[in-house]
Amino acid sequence: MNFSLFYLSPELILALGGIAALFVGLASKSRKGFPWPEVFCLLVLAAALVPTIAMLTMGRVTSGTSIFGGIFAVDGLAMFFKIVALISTGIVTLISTDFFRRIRFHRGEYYALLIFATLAITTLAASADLIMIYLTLEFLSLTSYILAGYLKQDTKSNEAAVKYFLYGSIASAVMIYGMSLIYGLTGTTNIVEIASTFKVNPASYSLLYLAVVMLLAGFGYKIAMVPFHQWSPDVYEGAPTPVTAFLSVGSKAAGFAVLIRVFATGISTAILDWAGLIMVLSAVTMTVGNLVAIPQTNIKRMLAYSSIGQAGYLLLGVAAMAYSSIALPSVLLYIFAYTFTNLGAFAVVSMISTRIKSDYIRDYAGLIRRAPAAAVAMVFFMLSLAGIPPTAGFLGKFYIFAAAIQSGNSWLLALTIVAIINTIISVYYYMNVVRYMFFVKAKRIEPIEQPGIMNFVIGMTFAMTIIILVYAGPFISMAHISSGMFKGI
Amino acid sequence: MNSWILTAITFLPLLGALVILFIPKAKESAIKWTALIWSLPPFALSVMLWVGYLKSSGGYQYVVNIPWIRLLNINYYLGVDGISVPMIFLSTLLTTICIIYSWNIKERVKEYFALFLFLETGMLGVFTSLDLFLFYIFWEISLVPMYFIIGVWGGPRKEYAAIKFFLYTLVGSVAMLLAIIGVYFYTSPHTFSIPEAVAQLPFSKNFMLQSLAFWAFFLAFAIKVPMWPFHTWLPDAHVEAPTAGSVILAGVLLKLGGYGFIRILIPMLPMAAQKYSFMLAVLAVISIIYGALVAMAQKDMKKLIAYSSVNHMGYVMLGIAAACAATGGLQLNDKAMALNGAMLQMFSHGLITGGLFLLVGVIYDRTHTRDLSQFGGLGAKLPVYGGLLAFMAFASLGLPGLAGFVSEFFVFRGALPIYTVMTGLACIGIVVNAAYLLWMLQRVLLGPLNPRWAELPDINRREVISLMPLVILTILVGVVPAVLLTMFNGSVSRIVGMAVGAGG
Repeated sequence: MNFSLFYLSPELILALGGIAALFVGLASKSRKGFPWPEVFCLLVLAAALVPTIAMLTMGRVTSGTSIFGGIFAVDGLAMFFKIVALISTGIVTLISTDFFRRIRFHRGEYYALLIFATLAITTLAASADLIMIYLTLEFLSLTSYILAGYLKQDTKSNEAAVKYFLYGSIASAVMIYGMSLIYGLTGTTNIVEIASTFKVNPASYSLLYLAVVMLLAGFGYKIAMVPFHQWSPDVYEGAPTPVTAFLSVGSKAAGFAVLIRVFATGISTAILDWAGLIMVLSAVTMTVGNLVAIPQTNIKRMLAYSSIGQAGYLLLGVAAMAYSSIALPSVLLYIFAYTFTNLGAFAVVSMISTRIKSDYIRDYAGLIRRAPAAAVAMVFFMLSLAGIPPTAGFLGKFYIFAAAIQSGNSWLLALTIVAIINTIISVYYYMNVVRYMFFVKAKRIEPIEQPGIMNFVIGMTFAMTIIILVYAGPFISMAHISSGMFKGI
Repeated sequence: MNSWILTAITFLPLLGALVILFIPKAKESAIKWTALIWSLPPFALSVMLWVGYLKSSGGYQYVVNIPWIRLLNINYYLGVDGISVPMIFLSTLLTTICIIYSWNIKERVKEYFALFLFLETGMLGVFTSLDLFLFYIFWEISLVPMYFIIGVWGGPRKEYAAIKFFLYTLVGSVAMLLAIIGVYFYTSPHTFSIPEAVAQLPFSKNFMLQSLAFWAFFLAFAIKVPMWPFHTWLPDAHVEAPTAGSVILAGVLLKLGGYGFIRILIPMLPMAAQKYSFMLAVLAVISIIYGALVAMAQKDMKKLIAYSSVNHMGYVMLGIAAACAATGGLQLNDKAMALNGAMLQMFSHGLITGGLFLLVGVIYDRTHTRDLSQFGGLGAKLPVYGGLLAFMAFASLGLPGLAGFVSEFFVFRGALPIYTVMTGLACIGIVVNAAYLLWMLQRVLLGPLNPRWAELPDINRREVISLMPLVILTILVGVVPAVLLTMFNGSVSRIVGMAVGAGG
């Protein structure tokens, strides 16, 4: 039981910290003076990060174990996604301090909600039971709905919250129906037991397939997979930019965590060959995301479609899991690279948009003269999202393609070609931002204020975008260690 | 051996670019001098490489091999042989020349010079890397600065040309990325090292896969060269790019394609190369004739030179195709000769076309037009300019005694026994080549003077200084081609020997 407490310490810290954050917010009403809520939020996240990293590095979870009767997994996969969630919420917190500086809003509650949303992700990453998965997914959704609608006076933000809620409730209703079908087939909700039951008595193919498709509706909604992606452009556009950043990274990573766990452990390809289905979804997702991104004029909508495209590449890695030993590490590495790149891009968007009071790409014209450092960093974020060296995104893409080629599966090879065509399409709209920033003359040329905190965030994410490639060894090892510990289940 | 030299050559320009970023924007003169001074050590080091390289062995020298990403067996593996040393020399020389030529740039000076040095690192990295992963990274890095150089300082349709250039070359490079990953998984132990992969001959048991890898690499290199029908990005990029950008594009970036064929395709996938060599030869001949004919039809002087690049790089490809086809035995000599010719032609084309683009730039800076029908009689008005233009045009059409002639001679002599008919057809290109260049000279230099240019000043000292090294080297290579051939030959024989041993 002693160990259980240690295993649970990140969640305990987040839960207590989230409640405390409410009181810290009450105590510091004035918007001037020391930013207690922001600092407290960062401290809580850092405190939760320490035991998580300790568990991953100190070998406490070498073989992967679980507590509370198998509903809470303690393994590399869970730790990896917890680290991604904590780091990305930390960056989102820093972006928020700048974004909300000029807007009247309830800081204490906002940061408390961010912490609770992070708690939802960390728990979700560890959930190994269908009930637990459903509850944590709902927990994450509810906190996200409120966060998306946080700009009370802004109609677009309200619209975002309502849309997110409507799509979300339908997706989760469909998902829980799928879960009930699986429970009916196996008599258990525990993922490991589901796997062992199916191995003994194979279920009816069509019924199981139907259940899997229904599960995918819930997970696909979180990762913005086509055809469950329709909410994302409107929500990304309307939500406050830091929340959009959170949804596009932390929330998406959570979706992949649960997708990987359920499909690698519970319903493995030995039980039902889902690789073909995921391949089709991957091809459709990346193609729709990248094609529809081209005509976008609003940078947040463009990044929304881009992140749909990114989900497509990640699904390629998920599909390869059935055939290649490096597929899971490649997915994790890609997510890690994407985390810093995408948050960096949103940091630039948040900083610039609040100052030029526009989200339109055409208003980024001549940014190189108005905010040179941010413009240069943005070039590298765009290159990284497109997967062009010398950036982290290149390493991620390279590794996913390597997994597909290692598999030797000809369908995966064909999908890789689709991914490559998509990469070329994506360069067009990513470079369109660069074109405006560098080639098009600005209507106004006065410099844009760059506060120190945003310089720090952009500088840090930029540095990581380069370092993950140049000093790749530790990051690749981390991805392999995380997935190696996952195998043990 | 002095293993630090290659690292220094490759990364000094990048360091220079970073230094420039810290100079205040207003201090334009300081920026220009810093750029010039930072471009000199790499040039000096490339001369050192040339002198210090032991030509007789032909193997890789100045090698550095340090593990980079151990888990994937990726190494920081640099080394040069007789094929890369002249290309490194050409890159560093042309960068310095471009910086001198660009002294009159007025817009966004700081970014301009920083990007040129950044570009130099990308190009040099491709020529020094012996690890495919590293090779790919530098290959892509060289793309980004050129995109900006065209897009910011280019002509009226610069944005279109920049993205077209970027997307076109990217199509090839991502295909190459898949082939590189394929090579990795089909070698054991898995390796990205070029020499190791060449020794193992990946896919030698599976011809289907070898063919796929061949076409993937082919796409990357053929677009870069560019070969017909992959050449359509080139005229746009050249016409819109600023003068110095065109010089680097023609002088070095096109060579990356030819270099890739010789460094990777021929030795690593010899069977597929041999099997498909006839197609290469056909495309090469089409490039030669088509490039020449289209050049003939141009009214824009810069576009004319751009199409002449398609024509001239066609000779390079003919030499390479012949080298792929040779089966060994008696053909070994021809093969070596064709490859030597291809290398020689790449070097000469860098000098001559670089010079021609500079000369187009000189006249465009003065008249703000490149329309050939607007010129005439400038030979008497601008005698020094006229002389230099005539010199470079004659070098380009293959006047004996200048660099263009020996290169083409070697290519034809090497290719003739292997592809007799194709080589014969390629000779049509030579005739048309002479026709369009002479016609261009006639329209610019001879005839009545357009009164609009009555006050035109002649070429100035800075411009002459930037052209002089090219003129001198063009004569030197033309008269004593041995300076280059001794450099190439050792490494070419190695490649020839390797490829034949495996293919035959």
